[in-house]
Amino acid sequence: MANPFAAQTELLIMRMLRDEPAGMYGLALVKASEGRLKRGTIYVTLGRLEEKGYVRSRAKPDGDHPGIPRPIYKITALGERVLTGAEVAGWQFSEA
Amino acid sequence: MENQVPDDGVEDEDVRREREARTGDGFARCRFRLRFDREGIPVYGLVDEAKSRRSRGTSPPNWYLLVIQLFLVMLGYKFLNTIAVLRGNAAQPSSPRIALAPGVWLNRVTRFLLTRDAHRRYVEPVILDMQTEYCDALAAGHVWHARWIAIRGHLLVLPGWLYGLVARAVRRMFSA
Repeated sequence: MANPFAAQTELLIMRMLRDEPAGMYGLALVKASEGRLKRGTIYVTLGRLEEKGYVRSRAKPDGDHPGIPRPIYKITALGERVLTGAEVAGWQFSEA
Repeated sequence: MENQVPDDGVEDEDVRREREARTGDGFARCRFRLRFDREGIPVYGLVDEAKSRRSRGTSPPNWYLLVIQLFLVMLGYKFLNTIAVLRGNAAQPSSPRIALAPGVWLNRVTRFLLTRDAHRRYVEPVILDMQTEYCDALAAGHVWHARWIAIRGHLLVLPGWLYGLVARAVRRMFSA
């Protein structure tokens, strides 16, 4: 079976989103990753995960920041199952 | 002759007005001139010489010079204000200044250039994050850090933009 994750960054994002059920902003993911995720490419990776159906985004209006609402990302049920399967299969070590 | 001054040196008032109306003397030195018809009766009242000349087309309209002068004045004011701000002695505004957030124009341009999906997924979140960080830095009083965030945010849009362009090109290639 092929590895459904094209890169370790996808796996990292999935884990961080699983640990935060309320969802996370892209900027919060970058700050929480301690340098492993970059501001310029995080949304490309998130878009790829969204196309696969592992992650969904919703633009939620935030009272603290007026203007266009920022998208908040949450892991889907399919994403959780795939992540669990990937961790059981040990895919996270395959590219390390 | 009828326009000659009488021997007593006192010219009759009606004769003088008629002569000046005919020859253009006297009132021609003034800014306004009284016009008479053939009988010597004023028909137009006071006429502005400059306006009358412009209406006849003897001098071109110079409205564009006014626009250029206004532009130069605004440019000079902006330059002096910038110098004052850099030197730190600019006058403090009495009320908060309303300004556009950084990236507003970039958002408009990329929305025009990219597809809606590529813009929504790859470019707009980067701009919104930049605006959030910018506002947080300004609120903390870190003006120069906020400026750096604005510059960096504009540069960070490029990867998402390029990815959107490449993805669209690949999609078109394989869909054709």
